[in-house]
Amino acid sequence: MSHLGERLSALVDGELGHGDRERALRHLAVCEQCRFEAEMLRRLKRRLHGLGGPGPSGDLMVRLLSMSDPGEPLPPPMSPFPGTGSGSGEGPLSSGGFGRTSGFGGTATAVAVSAQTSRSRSGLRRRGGRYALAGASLMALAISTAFAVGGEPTDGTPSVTPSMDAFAVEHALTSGGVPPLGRHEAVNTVGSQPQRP
Amino acid sequence: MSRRAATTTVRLSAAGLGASAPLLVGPLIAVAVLLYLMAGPLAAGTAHADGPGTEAEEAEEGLRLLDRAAQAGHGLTYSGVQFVAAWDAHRSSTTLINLAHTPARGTVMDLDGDEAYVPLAVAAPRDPGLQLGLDRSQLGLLRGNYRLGAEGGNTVCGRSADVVVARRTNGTVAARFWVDRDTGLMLRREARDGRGRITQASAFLDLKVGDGAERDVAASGTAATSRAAAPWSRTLTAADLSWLRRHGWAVPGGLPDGLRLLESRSSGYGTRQVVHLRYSDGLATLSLFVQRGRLDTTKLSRLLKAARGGATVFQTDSVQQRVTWAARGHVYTLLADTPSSSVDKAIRVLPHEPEPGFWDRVSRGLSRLASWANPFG
Repeated sequence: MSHLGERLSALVDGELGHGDRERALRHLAVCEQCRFEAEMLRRLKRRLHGLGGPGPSGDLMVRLLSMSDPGEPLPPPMSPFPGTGSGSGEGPLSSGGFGRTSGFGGTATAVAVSAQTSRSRSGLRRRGGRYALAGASLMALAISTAFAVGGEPTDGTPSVTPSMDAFAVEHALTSGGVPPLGRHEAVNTVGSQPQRP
Repeated sequence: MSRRAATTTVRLSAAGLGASAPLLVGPLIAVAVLLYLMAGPLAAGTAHADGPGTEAEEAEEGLRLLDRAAQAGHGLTYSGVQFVAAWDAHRSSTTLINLAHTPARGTVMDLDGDEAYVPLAVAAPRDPGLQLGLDRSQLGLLRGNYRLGAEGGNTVCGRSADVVVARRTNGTVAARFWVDRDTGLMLRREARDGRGRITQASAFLDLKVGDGAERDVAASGTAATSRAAAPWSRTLTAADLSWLRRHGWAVPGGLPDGLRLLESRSSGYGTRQVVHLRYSDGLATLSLFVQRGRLDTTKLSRLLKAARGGATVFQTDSVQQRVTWAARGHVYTLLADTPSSSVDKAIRVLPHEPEPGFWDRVSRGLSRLASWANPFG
């Protein structure tokens, strides 16, 4: 008795015609091996359906973000192998480089991607540091501006410098003291008919 | 008068010291003043037995003598030289004043000392020529806050004088007054702190009364040749003070240590108005000047920043207490011949605000910025 073989997968996918499907089902009724394989295929199919649609990988997102990094030029590419990675076009971020690294085999590709991921994370930290520095600068600017603006009330209140000398004269004249005059300066203390100083 | 006053000064400072004399005048005067002061209480003490009998009689006699002194200048022509000195814990100041007084014209003073300002004893501001005298309005406070007594007789400038003492409730001497028996003129006065140290002293070193003073009076400056100085003319009534209080002005009727509001005056109008409030306990005087505005600290270079009475103030480094600060839209300036502790207490009860800290100022600035950005503000 021949087994279903490739028709088993067509059966699971519902691609067999009516006659072939009936024959395949009759075979499954008597063949435990094909029945087992069919069950495995169905489970695998359900699991694949449960995974949902594929998205961009994390590494791909990191690389894309790195390409948008503003400011200074990109750092020189780092090669996982000595003597191969300092020139332009050797790195995975340079034109065509991503594909080239695959030429070294799977291990080389993994190492190159790992190095790129590390650089990307370093770039993120630098960028975060710049953002923090810019934020701190803005905060310092705001505080210093507020400090300068908040110095003295400007609600129409006049600025006053007490006339200490004039007050001292007034105090002396009303308390019987000696007015603080310059040396040898004469004062006529008017009595019952005071005059404005 | 200046020529005669100069002669007096030379005599006091040991004539013939040459070019160095001006530098030595101050210390010599201070020494002379101290010797002069040391002799007074001893003589007064020995004469105590000659005074009136009971404490009440002594108080009445003391009050009568001081009241007479407060009015002596009204009908008296005199000229002379006074010394005026003041001390605090760290400083002292001494000066000589040449004066010539007539009841009609008032007193012409010619300062001849190294200090531009020296506090004098409590005198009568509106009674002409009562240097070293007492304002009659203070007599009630003096009697209420101190125990007056007569200490018998003494001699000042060769003239017989009655000595009046004012004691605190704890019995320590607060002040002594020497009143001329002949004219009633206040010849000498001294004030002491609670530890018995002299804080203010003033006395005639030379005095001419009546005809002998006419020539000096004629030689003295006149209203045409000397600058007239008089208290601010606008006195404030009780209604004025009530109006000020309703409009946010701090006008306390009294201050700690028995200081009571004796009189209030005003100068200027509108935003330039300054109110002068004079407080006294009968002996010491404290002047409070209040004006609207904020303190421009950039122009207070001569003053020292300090913390007093819970406030940040600016003050002078002088014997006389001079303090200024701002709070709640007003600037307060205190000038006092009272002990520093009384000034601290006065500051504490008057409006004051802690100096805004860094974050207070930032917060005020942010609020101001927000108000500027608010289109509906």
